[in-house]
Amino acid sequence: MSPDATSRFAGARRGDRAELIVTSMVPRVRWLLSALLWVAAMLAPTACVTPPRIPAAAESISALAGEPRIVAVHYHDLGTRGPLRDDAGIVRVRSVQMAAPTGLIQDRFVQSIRSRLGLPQIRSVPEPRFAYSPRGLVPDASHLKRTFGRGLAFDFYSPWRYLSTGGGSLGGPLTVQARLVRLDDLSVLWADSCSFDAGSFPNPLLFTRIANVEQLYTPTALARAAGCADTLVARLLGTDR
Amino acid sequence: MTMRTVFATAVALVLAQGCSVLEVREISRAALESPSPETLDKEGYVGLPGVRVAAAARNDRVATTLIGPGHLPIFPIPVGGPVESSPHFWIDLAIEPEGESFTFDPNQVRLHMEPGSSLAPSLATGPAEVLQGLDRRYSQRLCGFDPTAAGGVITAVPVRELSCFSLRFEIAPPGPDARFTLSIGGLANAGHTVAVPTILFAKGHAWSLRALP
Repeated sequence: MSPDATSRFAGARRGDRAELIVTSMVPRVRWLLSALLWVAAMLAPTACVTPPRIPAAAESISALAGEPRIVAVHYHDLGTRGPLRDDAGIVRVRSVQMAAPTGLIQDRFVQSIRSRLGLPQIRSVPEPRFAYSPRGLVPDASHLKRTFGRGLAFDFYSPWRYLSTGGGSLGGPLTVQARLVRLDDLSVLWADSCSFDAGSFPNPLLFTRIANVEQLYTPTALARAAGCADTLVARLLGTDR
Repeated sequence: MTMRTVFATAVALVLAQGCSVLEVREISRAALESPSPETLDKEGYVGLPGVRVAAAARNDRVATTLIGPGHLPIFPIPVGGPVESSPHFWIDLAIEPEGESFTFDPNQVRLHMEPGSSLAPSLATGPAEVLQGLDRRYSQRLCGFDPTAAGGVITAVPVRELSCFSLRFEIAPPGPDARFTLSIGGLANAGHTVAVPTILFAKGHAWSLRALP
């Protein structure tokens, strides 16, 4: 073999090796990208669910008494109504979408601040609202403005979780995010959150329609949810410090 | 670097990006029937005093699907099977009111497949959540989570926020070539009827591009 041919042969072999290296790297690069995306996907919700905290200024609390229009609303806390089994006994859904009982928390919160601050004008809206949240963080307050127009609005939001139809735990505490929004300019005058451990859930009611999310909770868990509302009141009034 | 290496590197880079799929769907696109001062916005809503209304027909079907490397979906792939035949035609209505005094009675809506014909809905569900943004990329469907769990709406219901109603008509979904109109009655504000312009549905196209891993 001439030196020139040897050189070409060696060059071709180097090319093959480079091709082999590049080809063998493709799955690794794709695996690495997938792993990075997976880690990002795991971390993103953690970052997103960290509720914002805005302490209430003293003047915001004192202004409540002079505000004639104050509403309190909550968002849907039960995503699966059931029945989970059909007439033949076949389980049609494997999990129930549920959240903290925001209606109960709203009612207890409103009763508490009505009596503590002397605010009879607060209207507690019984119907839950849809949590339209364009960025997936907290509900878009502009929808409150569209409904209620002017005044102040407290809202109570709890992200949905999945409960197995076999019951059990949710794998972490439930969080309730509360805000006080001035509807004129959508400024947030107060934002805080509370969490509670709902413990273990009994089997969801498989054969009947689930009337409300409270039906899924044990009395102990409902008492903890009520404690969560008390925590929010204390944080609004600054009495927890 | 030989040509083979360059080619292999190029192929590897393309493969590393994955594939993308372009889907073209035939839809019945909503428009306002007659010249009117109102117009449909880019989301398909007609703006009326104190309320916005949108309608979407659920008879869309995939016309063409293309797949390809990176962002170049150039290879056609067969559209799967015959279009699923449904005995019912569903139309979704989204209503976004201002204030708390609006009501909606789905029984007052009429579908006109031909001049002179009129169909009332046989069932209506809602109020449900209105699907937003990305959730609407692959379908004309407007209605999402329904807390009423598909219970029928038989009377006028209050509409206090952005809400969606699905109306079922007892006909098979028409093809996208069909032209039909929808008269949206039953919307009222504090008891006063709100006149919604008649919606005309005519053939249109929608497309979506999505990446495959």
